[in-house]
Amino acid sequence: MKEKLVEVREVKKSYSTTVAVDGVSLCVNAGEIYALVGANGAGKSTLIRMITGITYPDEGSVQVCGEDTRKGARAKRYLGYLPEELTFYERLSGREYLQLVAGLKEADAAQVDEALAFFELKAVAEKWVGGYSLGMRKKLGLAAAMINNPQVLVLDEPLNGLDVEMMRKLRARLESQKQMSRSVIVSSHYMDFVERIADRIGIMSRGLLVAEGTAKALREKAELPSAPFEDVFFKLAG
Amino acid sequence: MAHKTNLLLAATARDQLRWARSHIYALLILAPLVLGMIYLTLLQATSYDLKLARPALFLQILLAAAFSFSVMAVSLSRASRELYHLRRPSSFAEALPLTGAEHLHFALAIRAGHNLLLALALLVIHSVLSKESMTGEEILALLIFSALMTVSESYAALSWIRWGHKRGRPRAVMTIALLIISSGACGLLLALFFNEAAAARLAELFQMRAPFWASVFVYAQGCALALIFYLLVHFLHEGWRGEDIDYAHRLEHRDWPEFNFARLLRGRLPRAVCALLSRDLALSLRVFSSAVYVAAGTACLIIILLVTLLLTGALPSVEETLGGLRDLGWMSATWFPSSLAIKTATLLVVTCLASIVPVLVSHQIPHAWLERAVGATGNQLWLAKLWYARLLTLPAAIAIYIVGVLAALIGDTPLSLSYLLPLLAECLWLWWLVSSIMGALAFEMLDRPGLALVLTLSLCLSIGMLTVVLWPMGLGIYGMGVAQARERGIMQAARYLLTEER
Repeated sequence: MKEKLVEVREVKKSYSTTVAVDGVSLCVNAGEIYALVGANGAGKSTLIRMITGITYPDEGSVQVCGEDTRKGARAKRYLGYLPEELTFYERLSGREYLQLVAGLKEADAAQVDEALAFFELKAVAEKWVGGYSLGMRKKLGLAAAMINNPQVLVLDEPLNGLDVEMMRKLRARLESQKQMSRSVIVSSHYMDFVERIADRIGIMSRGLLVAEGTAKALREKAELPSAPFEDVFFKLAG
Repeated sequence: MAHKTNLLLAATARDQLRWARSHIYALLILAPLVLGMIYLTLLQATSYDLKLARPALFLQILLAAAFSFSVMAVSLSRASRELYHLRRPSSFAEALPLTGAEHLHFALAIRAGHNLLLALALLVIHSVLSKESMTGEEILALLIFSALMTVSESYAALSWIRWGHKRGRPRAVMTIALLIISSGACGLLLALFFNEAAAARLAELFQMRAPFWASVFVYAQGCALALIFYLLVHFLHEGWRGEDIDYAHRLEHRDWPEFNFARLLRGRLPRAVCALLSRDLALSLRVFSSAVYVAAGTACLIIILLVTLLLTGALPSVEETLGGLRDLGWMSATWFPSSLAIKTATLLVVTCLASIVPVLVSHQIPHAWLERAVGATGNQLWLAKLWYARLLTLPAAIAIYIVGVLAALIGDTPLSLSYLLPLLAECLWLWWLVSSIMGALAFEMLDRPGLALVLTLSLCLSIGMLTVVLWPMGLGIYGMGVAQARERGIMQAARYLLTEER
């Protein structure tokens, strides 16, 4: 039986009268890519913020590599996170930014060069981040998330701004994470990408996890064996 | 633990230093110029025999405590942004393995930096007001004040965010009570800093043998409170951070009801003009350019000068001013030295603030695609800038009138009470005339903003001076000039919209 790297148990989060996440449970095993899909406001980002320990659930618990995310910074040592909204020090260079992240993650500084090379940022490594394009910023965010080769990688909308070639490279990188028994949780609106890459897909709607399973299982559930996955999503999300 | 906080602080400092490097002109030339001028004016102003009495010690402490409490209230938003990295580059650290204490220490260090700037400003004010040199004890009082303010502001911010979603009344009452205690302690420290006789008076009050012990008592209670507040903040931050961070984000994004002058004109102006006007006013309030600082700083200088003139009796007497003029009864008060000073100050301040208009237009040229894309007309653009100039300068005109009249009354400078309302009308007339001219000429010489600024300033000052001396002169100029300036202004604005060439 595979090791559970992420375990979410009955988590609930409300903002005054709005229930953002309503009793969601899920687990992600080692060597698995788990995709979260849902419309805007379905609760994906709130769930992801709870998994990364940025915010705490009102009820329930989240464990990453056996550590409760409420217990300070311990669980965060196993995590790499790409937020949807990226903010950087605009006047640090790409290299300086990654060096800072490596320092804060207590990672080997040599990984910075490796990350810059993989995400094709070497040519602009000494330039200030303020001058980066959207795609370059996304690559820098991905590089920062992947520094220290975390056990669990959480990516919120990783494809926005990436070109086709980089999308392919990213897919290959995520596949290789799988081979190394790492877990990936990815949230995306690109259904084709999700279907191709994810071992399991969770569909969220109005704070609930309404369906979960492999792409094939979800297709069977929706009784749409050959339709685009988008249609499967719409049918199951209601 | 400190290593990661230091890494974050070093990155923030490097980012800020590079920002400073790209604003070197403003920081090394403009800011010292404006600050130096303010400092020298203050120095000059205080060298006169100001007819101001020093308030009693109790009142001094009360005022200082009120000041500290106000600073804490004003810092709520900023301090919460620092604590939760809201809309800050350091927000990425939220998902990294940093402990709550590391996040807190980073926020406290940034807050302490702000409070040291405040302490520096207080130090300058002290050096201006006091003829004696600064003592080590006074510096110590200021340092303890900064430390206590730092932890109190962070405590207030934590409690404010908590109140945003828990609404616990007993906790809110306790928070306010603790902040009042902290403000009181800050007030005592400031009193010791500004008033060299405070320690002796406090020693008398507390029945202590020597003033030294009174100072020690105030320092000790300041340090003890700072420590207690630090422990409280540490404890609350550990417990609340994970629960409150999302509420802090939501509080940041909430639409706060803010006073918008442009809203007053809804219904009188086209909606598109109101939208442009709101944007322009918001940009100015958020200081889109260092020119805003320069204009505001110069305006402050003029107000200080006016107050000094009116308080020190440096103005000539009424007889000297009206000597050769025919007596026009109560209307002669328009030429009283105090009236002329208030009107001249109004003219200078309105001109100074309205000079932001060409700077704003120049700043907006790269973003003009927005107006082009939404199909705004030249008339709308021109009207927006015209009302921008008027609304931007109106509060200053009213403030000068109030400050001027009060200073004249306190300083016993002759001012006809029966002429107070006509004087207000004259000040408002000056404001309307000068701001209208500046606004009407907003789109002149876009390719030469410096020259445009010099010409419009000269025009406004000369027309304004004529009106200060003889207000009906302005009527003729306004009637003949502004109508034609309108036509030309609309044409220029339309040209600005049609082509990207300047």
